[in-house]
Amino acid sequence: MITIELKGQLIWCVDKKKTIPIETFEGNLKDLIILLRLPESEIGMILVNQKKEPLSYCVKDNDHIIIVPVVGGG
Amino acid sequence: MTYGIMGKILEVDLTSKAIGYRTSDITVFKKYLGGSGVAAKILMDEFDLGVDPLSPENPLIFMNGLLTGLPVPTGAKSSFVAKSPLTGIWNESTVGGHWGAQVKKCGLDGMIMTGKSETPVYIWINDDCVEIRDASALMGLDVFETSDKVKAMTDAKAVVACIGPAGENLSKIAGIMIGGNETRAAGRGGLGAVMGSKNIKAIVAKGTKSANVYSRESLRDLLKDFLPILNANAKSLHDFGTAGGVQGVEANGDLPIKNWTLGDWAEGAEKTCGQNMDYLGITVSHHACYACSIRCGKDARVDIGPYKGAIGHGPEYETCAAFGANILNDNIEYLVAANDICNRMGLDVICAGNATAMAMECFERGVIDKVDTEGIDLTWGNGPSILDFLLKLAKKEGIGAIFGDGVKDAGDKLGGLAKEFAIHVKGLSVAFHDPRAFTSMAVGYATSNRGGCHLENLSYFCESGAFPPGIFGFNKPLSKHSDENKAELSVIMQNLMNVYNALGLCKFLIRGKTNPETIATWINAVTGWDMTGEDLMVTGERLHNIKRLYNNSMGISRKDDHLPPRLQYHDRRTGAAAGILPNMTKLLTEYYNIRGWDNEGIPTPERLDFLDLTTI
Ligand code: SF4
Repeated sequence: MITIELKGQLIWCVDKKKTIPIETFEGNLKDLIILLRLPESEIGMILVNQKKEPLSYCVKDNDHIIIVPVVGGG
Repeated sequence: MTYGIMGKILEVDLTSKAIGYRTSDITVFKKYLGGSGVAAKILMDEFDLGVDPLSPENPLIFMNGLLTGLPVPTGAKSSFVAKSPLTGIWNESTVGGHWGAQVKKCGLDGMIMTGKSETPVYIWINDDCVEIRDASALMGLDVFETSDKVKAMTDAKAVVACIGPAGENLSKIAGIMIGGNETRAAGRGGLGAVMGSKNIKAIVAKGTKSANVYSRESLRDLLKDFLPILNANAKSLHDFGTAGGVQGVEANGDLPIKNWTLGDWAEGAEKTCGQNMDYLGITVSHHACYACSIRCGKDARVDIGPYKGAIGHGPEYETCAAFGANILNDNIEYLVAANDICNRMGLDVICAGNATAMAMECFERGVIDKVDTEGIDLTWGNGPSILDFLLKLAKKEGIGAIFGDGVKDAGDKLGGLAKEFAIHVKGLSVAFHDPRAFTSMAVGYATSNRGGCHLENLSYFCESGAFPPGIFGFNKPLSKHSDENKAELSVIMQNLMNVYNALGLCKFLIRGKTNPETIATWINAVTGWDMTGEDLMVTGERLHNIKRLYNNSMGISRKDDHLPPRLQYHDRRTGAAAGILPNMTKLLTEYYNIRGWDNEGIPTPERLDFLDLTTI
């Protein structure tokens, strides 16, 4: 089981869900954001168990993943 | 043949009503690019900088960027430039919409307006024919009414730049507003008051010309691959406008909350963002500036307040922060109505929003009371009171007489603790990106030539990942909790943003991961020049320095390059940027070293020689 926590405007991509548990997942963070249909250009940082990780990071069981958007605004 | 520019600048003397032209000097455009760059050169060379900003002697210059009005992505921006009545120093205020493009169609690169008309006038630029006409029938009208009426008096397809009641009342936070209810604003620095001081209610343009482009074919080829990348990366801007960024800003600890005192406001951000306006059906349509495929403009329906039922340019990010988080208002209907009032009255939303937050804090702390406000209950988040307060602000009546010239002036009038609540740099209210979240912004705000301006370095885009600085070759580590490499990032981004302003490009072009080399290829296709990305960055540095020289001549030095105490010394307890404070001593010292300025913040002769600015 992995848990994904979405920050900021990213919640609107998944029916305003802030936390998404996934029973089983195989792949890296890039695969995960494709699965969740999150726009890559809007993602500023991904923290796995509080540590910043690149998109190539292979997701492991029990990972707590926080996805933080870029800063927009004008 | 001249390429890119039109070759002519209009000169209007409001005192004598004389109308004339000067030839655009191509060597000046090559060295300063256009827009605020060329305007800076003209101001420094030809005008007395020591004048009172609201006197007839203070020229108001409008200048198109080199690429404004051309088929270049986001080539919509142009600059109004004058000494600011709000800050007493350099001011440039950029604006998009269709204004600059239409002025270019009239065969003009810009306008220099001097003197003062005895009676209210509007300037009608009808292709080659320019008239100064009586504007008495327009006085007292708001921006939307003025735009509609003056178009009826001239041409329905004309584009209008005008002031609202705030500019007429010489409010130092009044902007010059473009495009009627599809409002775009040259908002910052009080240039609406400069226009008002000259008795110019509106400038109206309608033309038929187009600029020569050296190679339209090359330009088309260059843009073929670029535009899909820009559009894909800016999709959220297209869908929800800049207001779509409210939650992301909050999630990064970058959102000012309760007059810059709190660190998180996630639930409020969810209610006051562009996505929610879209979800609730408040956003009714999109619109774009000239030559822009991003189309970040949103039209919003006003559901409450004196203009209920109207539709106008919807709240952008800065407005959402101003009339949402920073005053603890999570009622989106009042936020939209406050935005609409600012647009109609011709108020800069950043200054008006900071003034509202300051007034609410003064009210909470007993610095002002209901006698001062004439019954307006300025408790945090009180929707109806926000609208009443803004209308007073524009008229400079009652409580508006205290806050209608911005937060610094209000702090000076009220004295004591009130000064603590005035969040400004050099008199200009700080824009709504918190320098305690991304500390490159701290040194950026402190050294921005017009004061508390976020758009002069925009480095929060870099630090948050929206515009990775590796794109322009900056690969040094950046950490939220360290000031390391932040001064250097700020210098580079200030140079780049100076280039954007001078070319007339929108800052959101950087969502296309646009580097200086790419932009140089567009310039070369338009003009036939052989510029490189490196040339452009040196030009950006030249532009930042010429404006600094202007400010140095006004007495600006290191003593002025600081943040308001709240942003420099008060850390926040919660949120994604809790505990972070910028080390301003380190940041400024590094910044001056990189810039080649001395310890007091004055450019050294060697640096000026390198930048070919020794004759300024
Ligand atoms: S991105 Fe928005 S502000 Fe910029 S040019 Fe396009 S429509 Fe105008």
